[in-house]
Amino acid sequence: MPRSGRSPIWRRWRLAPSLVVAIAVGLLLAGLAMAVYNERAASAQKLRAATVQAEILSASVGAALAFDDPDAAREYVSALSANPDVEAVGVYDVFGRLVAGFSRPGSRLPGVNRVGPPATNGEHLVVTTAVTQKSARLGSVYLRTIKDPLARRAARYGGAAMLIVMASLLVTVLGVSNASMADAHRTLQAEMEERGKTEEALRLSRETEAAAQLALATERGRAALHQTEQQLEFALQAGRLGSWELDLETRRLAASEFFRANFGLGPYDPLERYEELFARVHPDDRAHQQQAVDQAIANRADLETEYRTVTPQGETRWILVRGRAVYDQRGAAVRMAGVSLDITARKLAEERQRALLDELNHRVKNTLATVQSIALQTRRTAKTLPVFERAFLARIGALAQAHDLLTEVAWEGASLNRVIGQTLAPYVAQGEPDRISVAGPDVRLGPNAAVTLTMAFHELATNAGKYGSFSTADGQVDVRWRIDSSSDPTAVEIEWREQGGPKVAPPLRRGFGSRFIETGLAREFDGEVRLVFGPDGVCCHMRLPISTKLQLAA
Amino acid sequence: MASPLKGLRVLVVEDEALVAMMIETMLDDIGCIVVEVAGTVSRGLALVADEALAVDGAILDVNLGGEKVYPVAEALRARDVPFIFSTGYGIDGIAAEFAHVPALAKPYQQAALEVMLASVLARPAAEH
Repeated sequence: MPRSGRSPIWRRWRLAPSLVVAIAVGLLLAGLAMAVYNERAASAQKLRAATVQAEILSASVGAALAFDDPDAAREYVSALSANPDVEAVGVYDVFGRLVAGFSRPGSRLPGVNRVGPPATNGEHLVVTTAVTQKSARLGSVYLRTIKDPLARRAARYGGAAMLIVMASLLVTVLGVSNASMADAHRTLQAEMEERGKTEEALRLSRETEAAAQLALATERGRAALHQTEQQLEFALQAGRLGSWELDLETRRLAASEFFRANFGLGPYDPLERYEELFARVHPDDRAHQQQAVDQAIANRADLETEYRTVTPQGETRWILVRGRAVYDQRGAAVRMAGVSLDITARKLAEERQRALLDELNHRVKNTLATVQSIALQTRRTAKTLPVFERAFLARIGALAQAHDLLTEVAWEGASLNRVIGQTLAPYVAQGEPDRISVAGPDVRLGPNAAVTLTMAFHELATNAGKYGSFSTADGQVDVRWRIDSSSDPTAVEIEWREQGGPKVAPPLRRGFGSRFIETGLAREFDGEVRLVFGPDGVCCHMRLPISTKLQLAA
Repeated sequence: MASPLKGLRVLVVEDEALVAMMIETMLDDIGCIVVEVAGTVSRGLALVADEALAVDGAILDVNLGGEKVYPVAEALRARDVPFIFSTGYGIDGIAAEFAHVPALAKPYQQAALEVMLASVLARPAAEH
């Protein structure tokens, strides 16, 4: 562990407090031992010194005792009295009588000196020596001194003791402080270690949690991304959506397979750059497309534009492109990505719907104009309002029938046969189908032609019902037509012939019906129409050239 | 009251027989002379091309059974004959080239036809 690599010196003295106490006690004991030893040494030295003094005195007073000279003995004694430690000195003769002596106040010389070994009496030391000369005993010496005085000894040991005590105290203080410091350090160290462990645990826990969360998020994100990608792929495929991404800086384009397919391009056709895509846009739509892209980027809006493309096979398609730009931190557009969809079918449907609506509007307006015309024409010929009403409603009814027929065939190519059959049906319904004969090849009529011919046959049938074949029980109507391909253009010849009806006289005044048939019908088809009011019945011959509104069935 | 349109010779190009007859009737009421009624573009062109046929003005249906009437309109313009359009497709259905030409939306009334016709025929009428 890097933290515990450096160890302070006190950390190695783990037993510092007890060691300190031991050192202090050791010092004290050593001091005591030295004091005892010193005391003993001092006593021994004092004894030797006293013994030597006694020996010297003994040697010195030998002559004085031999010659019985007490004065000389006194001189030696007084010389010793100069030593303050000497309390009493006595020189005794061979009989033990005091010859010369000295004693300090408070001390007393013994009356008889008995030579013996040195004796210690409290603070006092007594030495006795025999005075001999050539093995002859002459007398004895008595010396009494004090050992070191208490004050002096105290002074002598006091300093050392104080030093020892101070050293002990110092050691103790140092030891204690060392110990407490070591304790504090240990505590601190323990706390630090504990805290380190906690922090480590916390850090690990955080790291683990973060890692776990990251892993979870990553896993979730990956799963979600995978799912999204799959869904996107599915959606793209199901919707036949192409996807694209454009780098706005390098103008590089990344286009999916479907995107290429939208433009009729295979995987190896060049479509790596924006310019290559732009070239595929229909020239008339390029300005619009570029403007849409520029505006989407400038306005930070979604791009949605539709344009045409001409595939390499020459097919014109409508493409819907949606996209969105991605901006960098400075707000500059860096990329653009989106989808594409072939909307040709929708566009065609829209165009078709638009055309249908236009056509519907046109037809309604034309029909209203037709109704207006019928009303106007009917009014001009009807003498009374009831006559007008009957004729007007009948014509409107015929018009409605023509529309029904056209609706059946979706306003494309109503059959001439049906037009005539439907118009004459009310007269057949009387239970005599033999009265009417309708026959001819299949001819297809445009909407206007169907309406006009319906109105024409309505007028003919109405006239027949009023004055002609349908007005009697035996009257017959034959309608036949054929194709005359000898002329240019080919023409359809239609003949309406009434038979078995009452005698017919030409009308005094041409009514709306005959005007409409002879003039209106002929002009509309750019053809010829003859209406003959013959004695056998009405005969109407129409020669209508083939045109956009009148065609032979394929 | 003498209508300024009285006696003017008007050509009608209209493919629907009923509508053509109504226009004819209206023009008749106004006092115009209907020179001819053409139901197809080819017929209309033939009539306009006929120098002998005096025409003061024309009413042109825009859509003649799928064909556009514009060739006739151009021919009339070449002859300096004023004309108006009559259409069931609405004013928007007219080609840009002729967008300035007055147009009647079907169905219309005689009074509207008279006013519009007068607006384009005023000059030739004054000359006549």
